[in-house]
Order: sequence, then C-alpha cells, then structure tokens
Amino acid sequence: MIALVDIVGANSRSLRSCLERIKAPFRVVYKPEDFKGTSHVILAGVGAAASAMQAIETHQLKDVITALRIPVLGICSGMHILFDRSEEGGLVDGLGIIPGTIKKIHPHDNHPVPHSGWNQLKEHHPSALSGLNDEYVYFVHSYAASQMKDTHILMSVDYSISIPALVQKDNYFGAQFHPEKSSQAGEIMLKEFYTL
Amino acid sequence: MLAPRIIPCLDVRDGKVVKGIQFQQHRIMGDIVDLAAYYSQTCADELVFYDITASSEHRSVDSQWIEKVASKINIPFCVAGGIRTIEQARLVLHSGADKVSINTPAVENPDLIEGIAKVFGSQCVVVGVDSRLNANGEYYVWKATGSEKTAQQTTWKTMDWISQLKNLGAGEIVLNCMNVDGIRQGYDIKQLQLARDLTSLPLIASGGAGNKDHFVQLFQNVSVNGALAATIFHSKQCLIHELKDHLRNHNIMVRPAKHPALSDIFPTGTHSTQ
Repeated sequence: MIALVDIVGANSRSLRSCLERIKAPFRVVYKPEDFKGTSHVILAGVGAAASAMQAIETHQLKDVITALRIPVLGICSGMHILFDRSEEGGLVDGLGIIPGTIKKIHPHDNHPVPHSGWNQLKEHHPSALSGLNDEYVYFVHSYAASQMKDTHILMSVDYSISIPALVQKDNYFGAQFHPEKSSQAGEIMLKEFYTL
Repeated sequence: MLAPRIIPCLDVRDGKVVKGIQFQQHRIMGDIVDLAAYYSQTCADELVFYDITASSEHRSVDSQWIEKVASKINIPFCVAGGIRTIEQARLVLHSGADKVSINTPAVENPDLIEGIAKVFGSQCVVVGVDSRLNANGEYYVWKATGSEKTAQQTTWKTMDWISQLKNLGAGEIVLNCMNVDGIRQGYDIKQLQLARDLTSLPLIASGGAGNKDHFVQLFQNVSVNGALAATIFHSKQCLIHELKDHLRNHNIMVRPAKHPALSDIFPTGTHSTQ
C-alpha cells in the first residue's frame, strides 16, 4: 500500500490513474497516523517548495517523513522538498534529506525555461530503478537540483547543462520528471519503485 | 536534448473527434477517449484537443471528457477552445489537462495570457495562432475559425502578434497555417521560419501534413519544437510509430516508438472515418 502525500491540493489525478493502471494500491495521507500499514510513500508534485513546506509543517508531517525507513519517491516539486533548501518562491528550508539546493535554471540560446518536453535519461549510477536508462521521459519545470553529491545522482538529462533527473539517498528517491506523463517508461519506473 | 514532438490534434465537436478541410466541412473521425488512448499507445508525444465549436458558439469546454481522457492516457495533453477566463482555465487544468491553448480570447483580451500564466505558470499557456495569407501577400491572425460563419480576420499581422506573445506570458505557440490546412501539400515552412526568427518560445507547426516526408522537410528546414497534424493520423494513412522510425532514419531524434501490438493500432471501434 502506497501512502500518497498530496496535501496542498496538487492535481494528482494523472498520478492516481497511473497507479491504478499498474495495479499499485494507494491511499492519500493527510496526517502522521495515516502512514500506518503503508509500504511505500510518494510525495506528489506540490507547486513551489515554499508552499509545500508550509503545508508539511501545518500537517505536522515533517518528522514522520524524515524518519521513514520504507521507500519514498518525490516527484518534481515533491523531489525538491527532499533537499536542504530551495530558491523557488523565496529561499526556504527543505526536509534536508538529500544534500543540495534547488535553483532556477538559467535560459540559454534555444534552451528556454521552463525545461518542458521529452528528454532522454542518461545513467550515472546503477540502481534498483535502472530500467529507465536511455528512455525519454516528460519534464516540465523551471527549478532543478544543484550542488549535489555526484553519488546521489542516478540519472540526468542534457539541456545545455546537465539536469539531475533521478536522485537517491538511502531509501529516498526523487524524480524531476513526471512518470505519470511519461508513457510506458514512467509506468515501468513506478512499477520498479513499488517492487522495492 | 528535448526531442521534437509529434502531436495529433483532435478537433472535438459534440463529444466526437471531427476533421474539416480548411476549418470547414467537418466529418466524424471517432470517439474522443478511444482515439486519445490509441494515440497514447502508438507513441504520440502529446495530444491537443480542440473544441472547435466552443469559441464560435460562446460556450466553454465540457470538463467531463477531459477527466475521462486524463484517467485513460499517460502522456501530456492540451485543451483548446472556449477558454475565456482564468476560472475556465482552472477547470480544464484541474480536470487533468496539462496545458490550455487559447486563441480567439487571447486576441480579444491579451491580458488573459498573463493572467493564466501568473496563476498556473507559463508552461501551461499555449497560444494558438490561426494565420492566413491575404490578397496583398501578408499574413494576418484570424479568430473564431471554428465555423465559416464566425471566422474573421483580426487587425493583428501574424508576425507582429507572434513577436508579442512571450512578453504577454505565453509558454508556447502553435502556428496554424490556414492556407495549407487540410490540403496535405506539406507544412508552410516559409511562414514557420518567419515566426521562428521572431520568438524563442517553443513553436509548434500546424497545418499541411500529407505524408511522412512532409515531417522530415519540416524538421530539416525549421527548428520547430513539434509538429501537429490531424487527418493524416486519424485516417491511419500515417501511423505514428512508423513516422517516428522514418524521422529517426533521417537523423531527426524524436522519442523512439515502442512497436505496439496490432490490436493497439486497430482496436475495434476506433477506425471510423464516416
């Protein structure tokens, strides 16, 4: 049973449908006791880090999330809050689980921001989610992880700069892309995550 | 790098997908959800649903089919037609669409573009530009093109409008080249190049695709970010996974197709062309 953290009303309809398609049971959690009996946790994309962290404080979920020993997957801005801090929506402290800072991507020639569309994953370090190597997955974001330890980057994509796309520290995973919008590749990844 | 996108456009009218020639003479191509699932399974990168009557009949899009599509497919999709307010955009996005595309309302009320971008982010605001060459050889923006009776030329020259769109808050432009739409003679490369030179926003080509080589010519000649087409896909004259192979054979690095089962390509009930 997956605990789906969707506390600030993010539009997780597509993610929920995707979990239904791969037959991964889930329930939406709102308070610490809701995590009881769950085997996996997904932090859904939740807008800017500042509002997400505020919602986590309000719901008193910070301690329970940082103490988890089961597999956790943060998606897009749900990944961002796993880091030390984020500059999105004003500098804000994250959960401090993965070392690094979330910073705005600077636009380059022919590389507008947001980075939006299908990009190809390149593996840095093999992991339990290696089934995605070389796959194209769907991104839409303006902020990205930086100042990371290389060993925490499982996969990245090239967008004139290298953008961390799949990250891991211990039992915490983060996906910058949207598996629920990434066709079969995304479903493969969510299945792999659910079998951890 | 980002892969150029192949985008089937599904013109929606009364709950069905239809297609006309130069925005007229619509005929039914199939059911919305069935066709959406079909394209999602055959490696389309994104879908655009265009409620072609909502704009000209002054009503908003119906959110029920958007929810059904969102629960059925696993690729991003955009909804166009009849979105005139931030609240209508909210309804469409909360029903599961990833983007809204605005066309007539953007021309009539350019502040709407920034209004939606401020609340939801520019990445979900697409501006559709219906452009037609006039007798003097100048491209002009048209509006309310869903019906022959309502379609009219605006005072905007196409290239002036396109050069304004980034500052107005748009995140992407779909340039519908009306002169070539539905006649399958290839994309309007000349006009698309003029637009490309004027904007750094993602630019999607629309109108004119008649065979696989038209896509090759497009991507080899203009650095557009995607190609939109309708009839060529709905008629199954061009299957998207085959198109993807063809493009990659020409070194155009689209997201490669996983070859789908034949039953995914021709499922019962979706091959209706009448």
